Amino acid sequence: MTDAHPNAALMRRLFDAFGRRDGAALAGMFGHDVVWRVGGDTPMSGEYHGWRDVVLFLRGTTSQTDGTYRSSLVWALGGDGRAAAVYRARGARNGRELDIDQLLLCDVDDGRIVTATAIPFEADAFTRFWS
Amino acid sequence: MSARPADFIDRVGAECVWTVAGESLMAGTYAGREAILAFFRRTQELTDGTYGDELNWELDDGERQVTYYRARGRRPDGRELDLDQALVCRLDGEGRWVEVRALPYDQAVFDAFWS
Repeated sequence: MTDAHPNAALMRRLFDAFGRRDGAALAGMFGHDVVWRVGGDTPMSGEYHGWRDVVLFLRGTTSQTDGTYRSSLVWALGGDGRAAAVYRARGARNGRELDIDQLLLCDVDDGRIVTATAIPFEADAFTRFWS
Repeated sequence: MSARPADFIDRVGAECVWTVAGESLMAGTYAGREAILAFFRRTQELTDGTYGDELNWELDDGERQVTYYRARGRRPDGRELDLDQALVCRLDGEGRWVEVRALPYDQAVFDAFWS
């Protein structure tokens, strides 16, 4: 079963650490030169290079939402060198609310995430929330 | 499972529901194999046959599948698409798609190409 693959377990640990706001645990799951990509045209969109910038970006989701942002893993799949996760993203910001599914696509090397690409299921809702 | 984009047609279940988000000509919900195959043909008609997919990778556990690919094509007026996209799918017992959600990495780029 692909959801029993170690890289699926990595996704579960990633979302667990994010839920605990455990930056040290998160950093340990990223390769030194990890690239985290967010599509679209919002202040959060772009490419974040290196584990420090990625952890700062993830912290930004909290600071930009007065701590309300949450991402709950729905399911994860893992295979050699890759992993995917569908998660529910929720938060409140400037009177706007986010409550959508998102997809995370990861390349994994030696147990660490080296690229991550985040794609919202509802791009319009994502853009409205983060803009 | 390792399958090629050329196998996409064979994977569409009879009652499959395929959803494309956004505000382009391609956006909408296509219900049933015939409607989805017509949608596939439309991607070719609108691009003079240039539209194609290159598989990056995919994962499945027999019930759910994620397919990650690069979509490329050219509209007759010169617009070009070269964009990462993903399919999030639910599978039937034979590995065919019963529900597909198509997700472009950048919705605005996708919509600009297909509008």
